Amino acid sequence: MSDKAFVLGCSAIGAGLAMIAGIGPGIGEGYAVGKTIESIARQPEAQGDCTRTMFIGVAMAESTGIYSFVVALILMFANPFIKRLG
Amino acid sequence: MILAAGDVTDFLSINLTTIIASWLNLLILFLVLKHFLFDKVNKVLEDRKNEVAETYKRADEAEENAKKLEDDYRERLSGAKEESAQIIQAATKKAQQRSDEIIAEAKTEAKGITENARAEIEREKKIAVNKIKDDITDIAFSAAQAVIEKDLTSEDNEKLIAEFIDSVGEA
Amino acid sequence: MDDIGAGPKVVFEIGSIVITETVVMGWLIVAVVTLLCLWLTRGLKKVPDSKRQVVAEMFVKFVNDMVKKNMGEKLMGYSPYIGALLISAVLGALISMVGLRSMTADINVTAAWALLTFVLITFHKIKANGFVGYLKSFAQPVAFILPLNLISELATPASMAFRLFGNVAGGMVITGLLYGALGTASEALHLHFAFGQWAFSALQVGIPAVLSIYFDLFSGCIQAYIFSMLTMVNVGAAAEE
Repeated sequence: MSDKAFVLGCSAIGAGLAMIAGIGPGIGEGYAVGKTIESIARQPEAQGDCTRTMFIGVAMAESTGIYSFVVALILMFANPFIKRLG
Repeated sequence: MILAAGDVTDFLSINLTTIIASWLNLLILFLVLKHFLFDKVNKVLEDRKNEVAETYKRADEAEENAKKLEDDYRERLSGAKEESAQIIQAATKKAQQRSDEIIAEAKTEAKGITENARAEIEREKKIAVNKIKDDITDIAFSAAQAVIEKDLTSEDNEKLIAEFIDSVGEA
Repeated sequence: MDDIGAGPKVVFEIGSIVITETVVMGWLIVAVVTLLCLWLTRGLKKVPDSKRQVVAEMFVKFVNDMVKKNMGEKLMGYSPYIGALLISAVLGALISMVGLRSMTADINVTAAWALLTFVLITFHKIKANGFVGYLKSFAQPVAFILPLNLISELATPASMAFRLFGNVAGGMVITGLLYGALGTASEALHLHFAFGQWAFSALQVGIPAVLSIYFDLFSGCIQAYIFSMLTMVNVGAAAEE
């Protein structure tokens, strides 16, 4: 097995592992949405505010997932380790 | 790495030209939005806000004015009522006074007239009495002449007559 | 696979200065927005009689209200900048719906904007606290927390840049992957038709559009909103201190 193939394979595994971080935002977003629905049920007149704030919060929570996704993308498409091989 | 047209850059490559160009684009967009959209629209919005505020102010002023006028009228109306009552009172008083005066005058006049009339009556009476006296004197004289065909002195005659008259007058 | 994870193409170069697709998209957006602004603000009246003016006023009011709420009355001068950020980010993401490359799917653009935000934050912090006060604020509340404060200070622009870039580029990559997968599936199901140079896969019609609507329209708009929101909140907070 060549060095390059090994590095590429490990990078692919790493990219896959990086995406495990998607669990966190998933749980967080679900929790945020659930709480928002609770508050809307309690105060239906505040639906607009609640929804807007929820979207912002969800997008914020998503950023951790996005970071891991960026890492995965880097490993797949702009692999820095391949360049190190020379 | 020297790139030519049509080359594809890396997924995560840092490109200073792109960064600077992005800043310039954002700056241009900022200026464009500021001068062509925000300044103009803000001015219009501000104008409209001012106009609405002005309109409201004017309406408020008009309302206040109307209220003031109404108050004024009401005050004046109540004043007029009072005044009219006063005037009526004064007129009544005056009329009363006048009527009293007139009545008093009339009374005085009536009294004067009565007095005059009485005086006249008295005078007439006196005249009448005198006339009657004279007439009686004449009648008595002629009667006496006729009865007493006697020549009397004028002096005696007169005396007799006076006595006669007095006796008649007393009767 | 080659064109899925690719960066922006080079359109032309002047000497060693390389102009990529991203920059051209930026120019396109600036041109479109300029024309749009000129068209929208033609014949503004106190009493609006055209839909153009209503749209222009709605946008301006939306941005003004946002800036007023998040930055305060004093920093209302930033509203055109926030509007520019919002429009650039939204159009930069939406431009991929007409088949061009998203402007914000280039880390250079988002990094440039985030750096600008960082500069504004620092400027307002120095303005509010003085230079010494600004430096001292890193050692608050205790001195050994300094590296953490430094990292958190630098993390703000980095996270902003990567958030926007990651969303748009991720959407682009996923759409590309799906497109490729649908092409392969079409070939496997014998739904791939080729007429000489022309190639056509039946499954590639329609299905990627749904994904595109989520990633470009929804995600792009939300992330643009969040980027401008974070800029406003951070700069506003820095100015208040």
